[in-house]
Amino acid sequence: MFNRVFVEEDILNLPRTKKILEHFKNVDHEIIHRIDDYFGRVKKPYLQKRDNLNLYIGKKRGQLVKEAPNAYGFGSDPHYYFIHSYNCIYECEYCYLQGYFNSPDIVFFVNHEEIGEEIKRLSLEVHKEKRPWFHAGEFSDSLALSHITSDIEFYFDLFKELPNSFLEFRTKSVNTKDLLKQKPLENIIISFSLSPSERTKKSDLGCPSSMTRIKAMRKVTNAGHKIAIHLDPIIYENNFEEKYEELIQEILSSVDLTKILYISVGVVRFTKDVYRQVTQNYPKSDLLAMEFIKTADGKVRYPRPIRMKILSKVKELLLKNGFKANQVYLCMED
Amino acid sequence: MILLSFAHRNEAQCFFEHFQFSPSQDFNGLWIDQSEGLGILITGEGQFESLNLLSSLLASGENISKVVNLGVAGALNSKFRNQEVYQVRTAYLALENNPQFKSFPIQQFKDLKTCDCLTSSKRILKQEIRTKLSPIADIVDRELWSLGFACSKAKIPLFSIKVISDSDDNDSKNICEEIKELAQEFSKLLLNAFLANHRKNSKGDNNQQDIDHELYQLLHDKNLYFTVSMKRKFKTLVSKVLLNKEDIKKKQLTVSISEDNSKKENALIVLANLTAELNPLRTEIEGQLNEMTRTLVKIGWTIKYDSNIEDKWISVYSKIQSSSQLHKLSKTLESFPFEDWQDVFEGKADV
Repeated sequence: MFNRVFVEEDILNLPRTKKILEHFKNVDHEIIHRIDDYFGRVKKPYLQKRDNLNLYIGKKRGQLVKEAPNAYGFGSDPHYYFIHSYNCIYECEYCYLQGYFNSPDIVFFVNHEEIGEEIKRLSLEVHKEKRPWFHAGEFSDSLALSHITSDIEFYFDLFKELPNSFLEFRTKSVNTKDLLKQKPLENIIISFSLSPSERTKKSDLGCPSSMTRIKAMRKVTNAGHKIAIHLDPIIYENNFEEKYEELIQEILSSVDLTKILYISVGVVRFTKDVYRQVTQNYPKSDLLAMEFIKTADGKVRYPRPIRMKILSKVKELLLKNGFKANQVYLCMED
Repeated sequence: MILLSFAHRNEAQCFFEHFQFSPSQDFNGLWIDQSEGLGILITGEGQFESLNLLSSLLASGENISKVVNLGVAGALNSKFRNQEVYQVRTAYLALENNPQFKSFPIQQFKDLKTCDCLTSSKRILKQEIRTKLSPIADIVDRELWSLGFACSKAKIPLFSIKVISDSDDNDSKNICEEIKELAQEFSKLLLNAFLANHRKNSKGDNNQQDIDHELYQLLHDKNLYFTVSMKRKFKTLVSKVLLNKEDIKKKQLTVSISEDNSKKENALIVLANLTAELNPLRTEIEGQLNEMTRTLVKIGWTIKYDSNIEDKWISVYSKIQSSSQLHKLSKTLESFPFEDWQDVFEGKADV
């Protein structure tokens, strides 16, 4: 999986680091002072993740938990995301990570205790009257490599002590082995991103198929965990309504609707830099075969009537199929 | 012409023996084999020398279709062994042993082992420096990043084949002398790798197919006139349309042009048809907006709305010359379905 493994000298002897290194016994690990000395210091082309992916293991410094942008999550509670990893093994053509770090290499941060302390502070001091949400998976897939990072258990233990706060693990993975070892908690939600099958094949390179993800969702709900779904990003196609109708039917034939806490709907959008990266990395992708415009907030999107039509049609389909209006939220849209 | 660039003549010696190169009359330092369509440029060692010479040559008007850099390189990665041959995937730069941010992706042949190369402003002879730079790249040279810079500015594809001349278990003080002694062997390895690969297709060579598509002939159609910006728009639209509709024919785009129109008007029709092919939903939405404003246009108002159909505004303009005209206009304006207009922007219209 990884060509080379680099480990910060400070954390080399931590049990968590050693446990990760056990997975890569056949790859020489090299000791470095700080991840920042190398990661992102030079511009490493994104598509090198296909044949030249390195792993960095270190300590997250600076801000460990960050406030999420407006309209990021469900409801009107405060939303935060925490950073325990950078980058992803999957290769989605629309992924914003391709324009974010200047390197596709994977980074694991192992100082979860410090991240946990910050989450506690925000939950118990800053928002003690509210019900804050904490999202994992903003810069990485939160389950895909969880069998290597072994961090799921830590966060379950943490949120057992924080019943008024929510934790969301965002994923496109079906790697639920570590998750299923945990006793379900009311305040931990596993959210799966889904697209219609054909779109997943075309754009979610290296990811599990939609059907496999839906099967994983069933397994997770059967074990008693709460789930959520992200129909995001939606990419416009002539018959997108039929495709989303089909997808919703597939979901509902496998998962009990009442087990789905919420379903978010979002239309494909990019920052200017990410859009440029997409055109460079995937010039033949049919997701580019549509008009995009730059909007007032600097994002590159479909023109308003098109994205609003997509959002309203998909919401309509969800309501028609039995979802309640308060289960559906429109993501990152004004 | 395919240009082969070397830092030293010694590295190119087997190429001079194998091909029939003669010095160019127009550019000092360039040798040409007309029958093979090849050129050789000896740039000299170092980032400035190679950047200056290649940039000057590319600017001189020589018809160069691609550049292939060939030469020796030191290993930073301890797994790399002397006399192994690699092609480079990415060129990085270190100034005074400090890695710099900008890098250049290098084009790749199909069947050569791949590695990354760091162009260093200094010769790297110490193990300590090799260790420091090895997380960035596998091998080190003195020129490739500069060639990447020049080629990227000139939009000319650059390839690079390197033979390992010194590896990190070979920390000898006389390394330069040793490399010189083995120069012929290195040159032979480079020649063999070049001969085995340069006629094969490189990865990602299928862009030509698109450029050859019959739609591009429309740019030279005698019934059409495209301004510079219209040409740019045409190319962008065609490249997007071809992502989904490879079998589209130029007849589909010209069916509505007319001899009564000016050539520019006809070109605008072609652009509109391309837009409709690319985005039928937008065309339908615009059709709806135009339908709503039809009565206003009919009585002589000039209507404008956001060409990106992003903002909901509508701008109306008319010259009023009499009170009866004012009355008529204000009545028409009062009956304008502005809520429906806004609904279109909110995706509520039934298209």
